[in-house]
Amino acid sequence: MAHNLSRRRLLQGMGILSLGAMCNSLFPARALAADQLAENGFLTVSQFLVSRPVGPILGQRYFDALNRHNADFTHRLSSLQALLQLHNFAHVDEFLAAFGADNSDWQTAKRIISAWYTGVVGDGSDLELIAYADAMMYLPTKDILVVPTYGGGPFYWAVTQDGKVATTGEGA
Amino acid sequence: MKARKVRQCCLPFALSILMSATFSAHAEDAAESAALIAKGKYLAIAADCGACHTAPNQGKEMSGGYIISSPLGNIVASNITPSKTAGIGDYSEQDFVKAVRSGINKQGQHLYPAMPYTSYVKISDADMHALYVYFMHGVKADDNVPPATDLPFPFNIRSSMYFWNMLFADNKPFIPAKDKSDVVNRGDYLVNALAHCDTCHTPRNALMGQNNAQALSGGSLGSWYAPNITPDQQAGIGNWSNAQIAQYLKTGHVAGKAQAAGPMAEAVEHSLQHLSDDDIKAIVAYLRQIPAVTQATHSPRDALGKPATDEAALRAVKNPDAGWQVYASSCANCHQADGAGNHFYPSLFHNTATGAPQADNLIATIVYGVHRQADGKDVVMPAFGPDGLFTDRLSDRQIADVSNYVLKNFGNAQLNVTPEQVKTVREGGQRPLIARLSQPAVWGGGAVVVIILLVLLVSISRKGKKHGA
Amino acid sequence: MSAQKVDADVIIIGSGVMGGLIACQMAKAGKSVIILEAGPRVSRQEIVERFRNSPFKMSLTNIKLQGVGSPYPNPPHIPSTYGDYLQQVGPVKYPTKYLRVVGGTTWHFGSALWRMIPNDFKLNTLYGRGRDWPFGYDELESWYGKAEHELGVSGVDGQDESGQGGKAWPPRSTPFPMPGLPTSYLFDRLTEMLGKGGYNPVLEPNGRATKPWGKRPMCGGNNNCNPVCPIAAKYDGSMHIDEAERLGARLLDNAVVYRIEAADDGKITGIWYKKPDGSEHHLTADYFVLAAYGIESPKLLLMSTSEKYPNGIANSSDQVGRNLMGHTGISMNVMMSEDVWPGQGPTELLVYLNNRDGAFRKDFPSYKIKVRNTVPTADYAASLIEKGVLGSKLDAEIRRQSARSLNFAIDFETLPLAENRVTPSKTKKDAIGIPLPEIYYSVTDYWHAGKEAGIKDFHRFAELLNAEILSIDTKFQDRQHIMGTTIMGDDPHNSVVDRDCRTHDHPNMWIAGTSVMPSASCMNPTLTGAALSLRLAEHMLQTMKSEVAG
Repeated sequence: MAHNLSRRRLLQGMGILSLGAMCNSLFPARALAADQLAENGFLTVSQFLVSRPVGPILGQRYFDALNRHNADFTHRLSSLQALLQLHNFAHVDEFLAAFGADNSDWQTAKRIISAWYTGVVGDGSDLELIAYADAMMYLPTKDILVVPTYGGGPFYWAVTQDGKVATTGEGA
Repeated sequence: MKARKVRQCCLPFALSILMSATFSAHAEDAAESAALIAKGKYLAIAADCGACHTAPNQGKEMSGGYIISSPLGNIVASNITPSKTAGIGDYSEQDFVKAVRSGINKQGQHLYPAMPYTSYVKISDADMHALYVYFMHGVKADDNVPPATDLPFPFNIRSSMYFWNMLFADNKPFIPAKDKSDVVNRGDYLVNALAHCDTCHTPRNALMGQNNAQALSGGSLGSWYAPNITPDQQAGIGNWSNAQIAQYLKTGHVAGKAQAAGPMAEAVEHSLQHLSDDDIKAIVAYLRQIPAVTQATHSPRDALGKPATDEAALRAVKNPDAGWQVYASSCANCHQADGAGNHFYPSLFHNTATGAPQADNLIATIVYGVHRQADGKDVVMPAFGPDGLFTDRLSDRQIADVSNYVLKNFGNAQLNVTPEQVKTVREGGQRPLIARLSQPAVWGGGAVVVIILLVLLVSISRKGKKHGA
Repeated sequence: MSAQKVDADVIIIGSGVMGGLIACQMAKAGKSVIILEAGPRVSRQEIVERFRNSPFKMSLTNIKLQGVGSPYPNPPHIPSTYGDYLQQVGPVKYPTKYLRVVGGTTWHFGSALWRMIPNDFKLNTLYGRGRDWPFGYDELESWYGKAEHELGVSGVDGQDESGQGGKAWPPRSTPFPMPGLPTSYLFDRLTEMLGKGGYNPVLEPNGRATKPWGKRPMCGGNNNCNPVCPIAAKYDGSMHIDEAERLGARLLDNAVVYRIEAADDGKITGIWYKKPDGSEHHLTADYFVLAAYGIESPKLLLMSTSEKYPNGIANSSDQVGRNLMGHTGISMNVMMSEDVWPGQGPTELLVYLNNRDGAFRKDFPSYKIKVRNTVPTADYAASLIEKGVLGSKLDAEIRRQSARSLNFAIDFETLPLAENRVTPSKTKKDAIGIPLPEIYYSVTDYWHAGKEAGIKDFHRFAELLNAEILSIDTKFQDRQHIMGTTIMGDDPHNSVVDRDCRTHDHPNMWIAGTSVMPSASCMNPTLTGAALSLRLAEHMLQTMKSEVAG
């Protein structure tokens, strides 16, 4: 099934991208411009998958790294993007409920989420770190825990007057 | 002042009535003495005598030995404990007053104006008396003889201070301005007499006399710069609230504005944090109404900069920007990757150290670090200059690079710091003209004599009133 | 004193905390000092950044990841212990990790700075196990105080460090130089819950400044003590090297000592070292200190064979390299059913010592249960994503697991066994031709009995904490505390150094650090090594004075 629809999905995806982008993807020499446009797609998809705003600088770096580590990443991204556009999910949880680990777009989504959350791209021992302090996995606990190596300040962790856990002063 | 004395006598007087006749006179004297010593102690803290006369790192109180590195050479603070052999134990009150107000010690030697007698001349008679009583009876005698000051020629000729004093030292006592409130006058007295803020914050001329027409508008102090604290909205502290100025004096820190380091940290720690709330209010009131002195600047120094986003761009990148590399590895550990700091560590943007028209304080802070204790809490930023651990030390090049990174992202992007500037700062700052002129190479030409004469002429013609009011 | 001119009064081999302390004492006394360090100088910044940049993060709580991605250098002339430098030939691996850089292993230590207690010095007399020290706690007490001051220790006065919740113990003649760190919510909550089971909380004395100390700022809770404190609030040996150099000591880095030479009369005459390019260099001195920690020091002695010393230097007893001890341990991961938030403040502080001392030591060893306080997020985020937990569930789970997953570790005292030893490999060499260390290590039924007791405590902990046990790992975990390999004793037939830490065989060479310890206790040995080092420095100076006069 995947094979039969992939070409259609690809064309759909390319149709969503601008004409210029379609030309760029056919002509590798203009890969840079294609990158930028593809990155816009990457940013949109990323933002949807992690349910929070994503930065273009890190976005570009993750996109480049994901391409470095997976030759077919751009195609996989287009495929995922097409799927998302088709279903028009309101929230990533809906997408995750509808598809599972056996689905290749789901796997692409997982790869993208993993990059943003851990700050690392790659498999096995072939890993590349893109972000550390900016890794999203530290965000859900940002109000209570520091990112290791960055200090909260002398004795910030002391329990509060009313016996509650200390906070870092950042929002979660 | 008179009213205070009466009030001070009331309690002991009342006590003395209750006590037997044999004890009454003694009790009265003792109580009055104790109160006077306490008053003298408070004044000595306000005047921060200990800043120079008590050596740091467990030096005995007021026993001297602290080396003040002035641009002209090392000046050693004297022992002013009541020791008869090493201190001022045989000073009469007249001797004491002459030393503190006129800068001439019992031996008739002129003191260098590192001793701010040009400010202390304004201390009132009553306060001088209290100070004398405190130094004679409230300080423990210590027989430590500190080394003598020995400045290089020609500054070792103490009597040359006579001419300098003639030009730049006022002999006038403090006269409260009739058209100002008691609070403002009290502030004036604290700022210009006791705490001698003007000796750092008022700019100086070529012969190192104060330029009082521009009072409190900023002055160079070796490696550091004492900023403009007039009410100018752009160049001064006109955009600070009264509460913020008061907080800064009491704690040395106002989040999102400024923090005290170097000599100001010492002033807060040893002197200003101990002043009464009324006295702090008076200082603020005085500063609020002195003439605003404008300087060329585009923005208040606490209003520049914003969080940086380089961490996203440069983390793990090969050969990143050299300034960011230093920032990320030496500074971000506390000031955070984006420079915003947190509860404890100051933000680097909206920070007068990075937003000022000159980079001196930024460089000096990196070189020397920050060491300040207020309200029992320690604030420490380690030194990254030669005093720092070799594992953490930064070269002049690295300090210049990170200074430029910080200025560009968080502060005054117009400034550019070179490694030579860093070297100058860590060697004690730009040497004043008379220090540079005193070098033998210049002497030889005889040109210095001519220049000094010219400067004297110019300075005499420009000499203004001491009071900023 | 020799008639010939020597390169220095004192040569110190090793630039870690022990060598640094002694170098300062010698330099203060006006002696000329050369310190030799096998490895390079490192800057704090480079270590911090290499840590941040590494896609593999070391983790104290994930045993598999311990040692992976070390930010410390791994040059060919001194391969890192984080790689395959150490050759394991015994039934139990001894995968210790020491650092060959200027400043030594304290760069990455947790900075636990405990005293031993009086009974630790008499293990044999009291409990029929192991060896007694040649002297008691009282002899070392004042030196502990001096060491605490040198290293800048923060601690809580008045605690019963024997773990019984009783009066202050061990006895102290001086208070801690700095007050202890405040406790976090986690520590307070655990104290409350475990207290109900009779577990007495003890707060670890450690090398994190709580006041400005020397050039160190106060601990800011960067939670990265291992592998490196980014702000130098935590003590490390480079701080004494910094001081020693300011006092005039000379340090040669990238200088691997591979041979110690002695004259026929027993006096050590000089050393040979190699540079990374393989070139060989010779230095002489009147007095020598070997302070290269517990693997390299014995290896060097054993390598230094000659006709007169066929078993190596200082080895007439055949004890050099033997009696290797550690704090082989176990650990447990649990998931709490309430948020407790490990990772706030220092990476370690609260420990339990209910089984630190007592008659049970006849049957099983003294042990310490410690609470790991590292931010667990990175460990859990990757595995959650791997398991397919994504979307809002991922955020919720990251938060839940970060707030609730705890790791407890136990350090057991081990015994000095002659067969547990370090020897220079006969077959494997590093890039400059120096033999790699070969380690034979094993544990006995004594340790296994301890393990059973420890596991009982683990289960009890989980009950009291209402926590789910995720795993208990009993695979002989190493704690990087190397002891015993140049053991101290009164009898030259079964010890390497005497009670002053001077080698029995060579009157002008001392051995500094934890390799001289005749018993391990369950406690991190750094402070004990530091106390012994300060004490031996005084002995050296007295010896030097008397030898000039005599």
